[in-house]
Amino acid sequence: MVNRVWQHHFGKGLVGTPSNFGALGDRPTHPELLDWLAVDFMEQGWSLKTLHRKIMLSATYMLSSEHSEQNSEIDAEARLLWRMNRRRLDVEAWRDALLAVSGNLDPTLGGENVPLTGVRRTVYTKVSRHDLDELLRLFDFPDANVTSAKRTVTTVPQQQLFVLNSEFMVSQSKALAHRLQSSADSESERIETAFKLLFGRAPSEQELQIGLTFLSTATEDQQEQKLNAWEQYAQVLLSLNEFMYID
Amino acid sequence: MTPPFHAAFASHPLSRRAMLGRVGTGLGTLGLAGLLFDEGMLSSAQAAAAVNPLASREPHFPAKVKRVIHLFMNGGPSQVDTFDPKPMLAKYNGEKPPAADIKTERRTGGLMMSPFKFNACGESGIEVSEIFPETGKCIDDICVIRSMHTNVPNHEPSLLMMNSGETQPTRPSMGSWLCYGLGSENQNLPGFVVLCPGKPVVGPQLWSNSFLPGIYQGCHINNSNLNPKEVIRNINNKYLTRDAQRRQLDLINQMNSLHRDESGGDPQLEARIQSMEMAFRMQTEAQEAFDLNQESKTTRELYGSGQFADACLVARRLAERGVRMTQVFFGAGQPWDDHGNISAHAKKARDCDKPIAALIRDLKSRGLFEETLILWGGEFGRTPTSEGSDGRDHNNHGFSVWMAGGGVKGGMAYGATDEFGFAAVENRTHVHDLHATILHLMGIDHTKLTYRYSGRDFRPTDVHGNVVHDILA
Repeated sequence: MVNRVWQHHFGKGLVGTPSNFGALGDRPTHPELLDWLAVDFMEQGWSLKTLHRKIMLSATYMLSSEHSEQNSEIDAEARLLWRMNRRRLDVEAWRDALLAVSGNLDPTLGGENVPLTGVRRTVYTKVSRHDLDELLRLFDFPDANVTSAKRTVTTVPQQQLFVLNSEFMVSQSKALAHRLQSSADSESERIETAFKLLFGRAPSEQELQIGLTFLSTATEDQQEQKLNAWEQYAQVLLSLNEFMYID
Repeated sequence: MTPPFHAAFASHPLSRRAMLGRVGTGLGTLGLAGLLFDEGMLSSAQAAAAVNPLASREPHFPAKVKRVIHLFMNGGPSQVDTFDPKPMLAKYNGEKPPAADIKTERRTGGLMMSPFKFNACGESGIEVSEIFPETGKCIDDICVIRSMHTNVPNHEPSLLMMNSGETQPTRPSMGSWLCYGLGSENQNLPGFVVLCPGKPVVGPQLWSNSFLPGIYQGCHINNSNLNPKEVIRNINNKYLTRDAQRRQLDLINQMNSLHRDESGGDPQLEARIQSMEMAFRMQTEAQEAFDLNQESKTTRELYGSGQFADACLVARRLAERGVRMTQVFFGAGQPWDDHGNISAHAKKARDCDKPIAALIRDLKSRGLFEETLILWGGEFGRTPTSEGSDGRDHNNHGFSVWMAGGGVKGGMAYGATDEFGFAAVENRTHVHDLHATILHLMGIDHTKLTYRYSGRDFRPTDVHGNVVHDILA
C-alpha cells in the first residue's frame, strides 16, 4: 500500500517493482523508511489521507526537479531522491487540465459514467474492455483486461498527431483563446494571463516576445486559416511540455 | 538484484549517464536491453533508442526476413477444398468409418467429397484446388504446411491463439511482439498495421499490445474507406495550411527547447520534442503510403479490383516502406466460416486468388520477396465430414496454412493429415511451432524474446513451440 502511494507521488516507488517484493523484484532504495511508513500507516488506522499528508508535507516531496551536475555524477537516476522526478501527467489529469484551462470542464461530481466525448472529469468516463477509447490508449491508459501495477510512459508521434490535429484539442484551443481575449485588451496582458493560468508563472521576456511575434505573423494570414491567430497560439500553449510534465 | 531493463524503459527514458551506470548488470532480455548490452554499445544512438520505442534494432542473429504480411482467412477455410487434396473422400463419400469419427464442436454426418477438383501445379507438382488457379501458378514459391493443429474448435480461442499464442485473452499479439523486439524500419508509419473492412470476430483484442507498451498495438485501418486523409486518426489537419502548422510547430519547438534547457536536458522532454517533428513528417508520409492512385494502371490490373485486392496492394506499399507487420483480414466477421454450402468457398477464393498471386509477383519484381514473409491461413480448418447437407464444421485437429518469401522453401508440401484430411498425423505443427518458426525466420530466438510482467517472463510462444527447420531454405 505504502509503496503504491509513494509511487503515485514520486513517479517511482521505494520498491521499483510494485507487484513484486520477492527475490526477483527490486530491492527497496530506503528499506527503513518503507518499514517505518508501513508501520505508521497501520498505527494511524490505515488512513490513506494521513499517509498522503505525511508524504506530501515531507521535505523530500517538496524538492524541486532541478538538475545538478555534481549529484548526477553520483546518482544519475536520483534513486536516492536528491531531487524530485519530473513526471508526465497521466491521461486523466492531462485531459482534465485541458478542460479546466479552456473553461469547458463540467465539475459535477458523482453520477453515472459518461462517454469521453463529454466534458466531465476523465475519472467518470466509461472504459471499454473490448475497444479502449483512442485517447486513453494513446496516452498509456492500460488495457482494461489486464492489471497494471505501473503505467508505461511512452512518447510517440501518434500522441503528437492528436495534440496537433484532433477535434478535442481544437475545441479547447478555441475556448482558451476566447477566454484569453476576454481577459484583457493588450496582447501582452493576455499572454501573461495565459502563463498564469496554464503554468502558474509569469512569462519570461523572451517568451513574451516570441509570443507577440507569432501572433503578429499569424494575424497576417489568418483569413486563409480556419483558426484565428489567438486560437493557433492557444493550441501552441496547450501542446507544450510544460503543460504535460510536472517539474 | 537490478530489475530488467524494460522496467526502467517503462517508467522514464534513461539519460545516457544513467544507462552507462547500468552496463555492469545482468540484462538478459532482447528488446532494448539485450541489444544494448550484448553489443556492448552505448553510443548516443542507442541511448536515443531507449527514448524511441519504435527505433529499428537488430535481431538475435542475422536473418533475411525483415517483415511479415499475414493474409488472414478469418472464419477458417477448409483444407480439403483448398490445399490438402483427399481422394479418399470421393471413395468413402457419405460414409463414416471409425477414422472419420473425431469429435468436433458440432455433430457432423458422413464424409463429404470436395466439390472442387485438384490440379498438380508448377514444377513441384503440388496439388492445389481449382478455386485457386493463380495461387497454384505460384506454388513453386510456396511452402504448404498441411499438418497444422490448434487447441479448440471454436473461433474466439482459436483466433486468439493464431494472433497471440494463447486461447485466453489477453496476451500481446504477434505484431506487437515483433515491434517490441525489432522496432520498425520506418518511424513515420505505425510499425504494425491491421487492415479489416470493419471488425473481425473478437476484434481489437487480436492486435492488442496487452501488457506491452501501447505503441506496439496494431493500428487498425478500416479499409472499406482508403481515403488517405482519413485512414489514420488525426493524420490530417483540417484547420491550418501546412505553412501555418509549421509555424505553430516552430513556436512549440522554441518554447519546449527553452523549457528543456532550464531542466538540464531531461531526456523525456527531448523525446517529446523529437516526437513532435516525427508527427509532422508522418502526416505526409502516412497519407502518401495509402494513396493507391500513385500506382500504375498495370499494377492496379495485376491485383484486380475489390476490397481484398486493394488491401494487398496497400500491404505491398507498407512493406516497401518498412512496416514491420501488416495483417490483412479477408473480411469483417468470419467470412470463411461455411457451415452450410461449402461451395461458397469458390467466390471467396475468387476474391483473393488473383491479389495473392499479384502480391507475390509484385514483391518479387521489386526485389522485396526475399526479405518478406507472407503467411496465408485461418484460425483452424474444417471437417471432411459434412455439416447439414453440404457444409463443414470447425476442425482444430488438422488444417493447412502456407508461407512464401525469404527463408522458406518454395514448392514444398510439409506434413500431412490422415487419409480423410481430418487430423494432422505426420510432422504435426502446432500454432506455437508456426510462431516459433516465423520468429526464427526474422532472426529471433523465440525463447529469448521476453517481457517481465506480473512476476514472470512472458514470451510469444509462452512455454511452447519448436522451430520447424525442415521448411527453412
